[in-house]
Amino acid sequence: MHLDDIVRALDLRVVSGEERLAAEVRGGYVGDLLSDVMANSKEGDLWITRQIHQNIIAVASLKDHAGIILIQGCQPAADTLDKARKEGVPIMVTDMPGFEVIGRVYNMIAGKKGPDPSA
Amino acid sequence: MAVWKGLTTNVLSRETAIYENSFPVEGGTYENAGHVSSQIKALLKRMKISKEVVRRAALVTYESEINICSYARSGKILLRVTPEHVTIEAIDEGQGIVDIELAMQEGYSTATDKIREMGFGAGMGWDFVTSRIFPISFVSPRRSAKAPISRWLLVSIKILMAFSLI
Ligand SMILES: Nc1ncnc2c1ncn2[C@@H]1O[C@H](COP(=O)(O)OP(=O)(O)OP(=O)(O)O)[C@@H](O)[C@H]1O
Ligand SMILES: [Mg+2]
Repeated sequence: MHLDDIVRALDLRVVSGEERLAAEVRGGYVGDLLSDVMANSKEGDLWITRQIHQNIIAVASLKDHAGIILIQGCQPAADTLDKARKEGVPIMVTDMPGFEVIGRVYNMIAGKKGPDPSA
Repeated sequence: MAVWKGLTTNVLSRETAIYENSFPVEGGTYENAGHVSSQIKALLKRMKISKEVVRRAALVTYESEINICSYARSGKILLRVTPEHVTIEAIDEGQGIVDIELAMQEGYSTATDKIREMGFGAGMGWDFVTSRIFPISFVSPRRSAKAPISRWLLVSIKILMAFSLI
């Protein structure tokens, strides 16, 4: 699964890191607590959050995330956007609520990996 | 001051530092928060240290750095790399930690609303560091014996270069 597939399927607005949309998305992580995301997310994850301040860029870049989706119309703060552009971290925004975004991203990634083992 | 002693000699003692450096961290602001962690991660990657060790070092450094930004006036992160270990120490000048056991407890935090708004201050930082990184040798926060009263050695963590995953 590549980031641009998800961007297209969910009609996300890409506001930074356009040059990294070919990146592979290996999984996803959802969270607004930065220590949690730092400790528990993995490389290649797509991070879904509603945090908009600049500290999210350090976390995404330290963890080598594929990108960040801001949900429910959240817009990155101006310094967040600056940092994201400088470091080439893709930020995507959407008006969709988190529940829907997470479900759709999960289905795309899990669908690609094969049938749901819990089904 | 960065000190490179070269990776190539095989006469190095196991605890000879290959690299040693100190990185200043500004307290009371998040403006550059994460900057030292990024620098250290990039350095370790360039030294061809294994991904898992780099991941652990980045987590320890990040939590230390954010705590200095959140709770101290200023501080520094010391990085020391030997053939066997990556050692990270955080030292700061500030209020220090009075009750260390309490501070290390999951969920305990004295974070202000402003800190919480940014997604910090869940009181999970140290808990994650100690539970996600194993094995490590861990020195919990204490006051540095030689340092003036306002200076605290917050944490000293040794990450083994070779370990088996739990
Ligand atoms: N450098 C420091 N100086 C003084 N007190 C500190 C320092 N670092 C941590 N503490 C104290 O220890 C508590 C617990 O720290 P810990 O990192 O586990 O959680 P937190 O920073 O409050 O939240 P989180 O790490 O989940 O964002 C802090 O709330 C604070 O009271
Ligand atoms: Mg903390």
